[in-house]
Amino acid sequence: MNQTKSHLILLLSAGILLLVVFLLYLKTGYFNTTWEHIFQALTNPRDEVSSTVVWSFRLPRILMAFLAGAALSVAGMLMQNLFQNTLAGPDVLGITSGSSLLVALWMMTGITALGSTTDLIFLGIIGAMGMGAIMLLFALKLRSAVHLLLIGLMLSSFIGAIIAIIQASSATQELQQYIFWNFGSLQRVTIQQIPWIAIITSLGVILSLFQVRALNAMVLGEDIAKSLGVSIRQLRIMSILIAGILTGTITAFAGPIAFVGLAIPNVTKLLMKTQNHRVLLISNILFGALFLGVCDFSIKLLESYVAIPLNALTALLGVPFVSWMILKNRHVTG
Amino acid sequence: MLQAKQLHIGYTQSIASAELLTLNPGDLVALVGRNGSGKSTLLQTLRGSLPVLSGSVCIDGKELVHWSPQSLATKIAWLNAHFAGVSQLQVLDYVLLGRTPYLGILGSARQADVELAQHALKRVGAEHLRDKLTSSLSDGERQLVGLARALAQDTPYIFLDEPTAFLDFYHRKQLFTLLKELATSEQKGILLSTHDLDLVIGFELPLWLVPQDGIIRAHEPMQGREALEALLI
Repeated sequence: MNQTKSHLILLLSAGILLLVVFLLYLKTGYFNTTWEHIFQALTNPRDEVSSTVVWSFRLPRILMAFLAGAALSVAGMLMQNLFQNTLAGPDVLGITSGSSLLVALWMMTGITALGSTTDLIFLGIIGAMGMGAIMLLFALKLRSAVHLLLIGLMLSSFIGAIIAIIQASSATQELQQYIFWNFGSLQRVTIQQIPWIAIITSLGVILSLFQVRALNAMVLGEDIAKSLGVSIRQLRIMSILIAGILTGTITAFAGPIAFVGLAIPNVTKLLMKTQNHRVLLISNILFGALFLGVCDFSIKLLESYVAIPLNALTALLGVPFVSWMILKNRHVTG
Repeated sequence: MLQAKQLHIGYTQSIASAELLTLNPGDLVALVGRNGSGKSTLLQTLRGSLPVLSGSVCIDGKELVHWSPQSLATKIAWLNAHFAGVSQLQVLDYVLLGRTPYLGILGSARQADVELAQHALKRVGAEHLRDKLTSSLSDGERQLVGLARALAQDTPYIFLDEPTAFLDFYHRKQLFTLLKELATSEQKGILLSTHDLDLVIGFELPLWLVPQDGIIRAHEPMQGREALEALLI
């Protein structure tokens, strides 16, 4: 089939580009490394500066970029399907801010329950899922996409206000830690944490794979999907659960990263020209990873001239794209 | 056989009722009534999307509530009034969605499903639309591919909610002709709600009338428009 072929070509190109970005990323930085150094560090790490640079700094950061891009894009795809709205995404629907609130509480008030890493993941996920559930309740009442987005925006500012109060009454050091987290940064993730994040992301992807049949039918709207034998209730619960797990985990470690979850699923749909969610799922993983990888690589290249927070860069790129998308689709309702 | 007995329908309080309504594979029945009389509510109730207030709806003797959503989807296909099309969704993929109740959880269509979808498109005379985007179709084309999706769903019953609402006279007549053909040749039990009294009379369709007193009754095909109108007021 013709379409299958073009899908394969696009996915293969994305895969190759991912590899290129990965290798260039490992090579680039203040400390000069040769390809030989990198090859050796990857295959047979020794007690050398080059190995340390690769394993402690470069490798975790680029892997986190890939994981975050993939996870947020898949979460965005699920949200857009669930809310039947191409402008939905974990950040605009306030899901990311749910994670932010709990992470802010944890960072700045010093309340800890479990170990620090476990705490962070749990809080991120619970915050995201809680907000997801609240938005779903609104979505059941509000049919208009615009109203729903406004609610998401307002809940985000509401949570922002609470976070501001926490910020105002916290110590300088904790405040600084939170501000840097809020910039969105991939640097703080250690190579030991990467496998955990990878496992949770894979879990989200595998769970999504089991929703493909329902996701495809949902494209025709709830009423028709139901008549095709899809359990809407189950799909809703699973979508909120998976998007919460993915967004929560990534946000906990890398801070709130804006627009990736909104823009990439739309770019993917435009490129792949399909509504088959099996194809869209795989494509979102690759394109999302590639996009955030390239973003972070650019940040690294510009580091010596200007420090750009990741969250700022994704917004600088995301806002024009989403504005263009809205302008282009202004005659389309929904 | 799809049968409703001692039926009371509505969301919280009864807006209409029926003693006995029967739809058999091979029947083409028109559901006629004024706006707000309860046509859509009846269709919703009969396809199990709204619970009955009292009474029962059975398919092959088994009450709707006892069917799982997936197995019910192999009995009744449903077309709503207006399908606006979905961006980036091609016609063949759209028709293939009719196979949803038969697919595994991963949603991969087999060659047999694709062939069924193609056959359904051919059956409604829309095979030339196969690779078009659903968002680029005309209203008439959308009804045809919608019908193809319902055929691909391979159900003994098809419900259509005002399928002619957005069509011009030519396409209305064409759709009625096609529905009549499908009912006879494919043994489909088709129930459609409509305001097209002239076509209903012209095609001599048996009727389910929803008059203002809210008591739904089955009628033989009517001869004159005046007689039909009189029953609705």
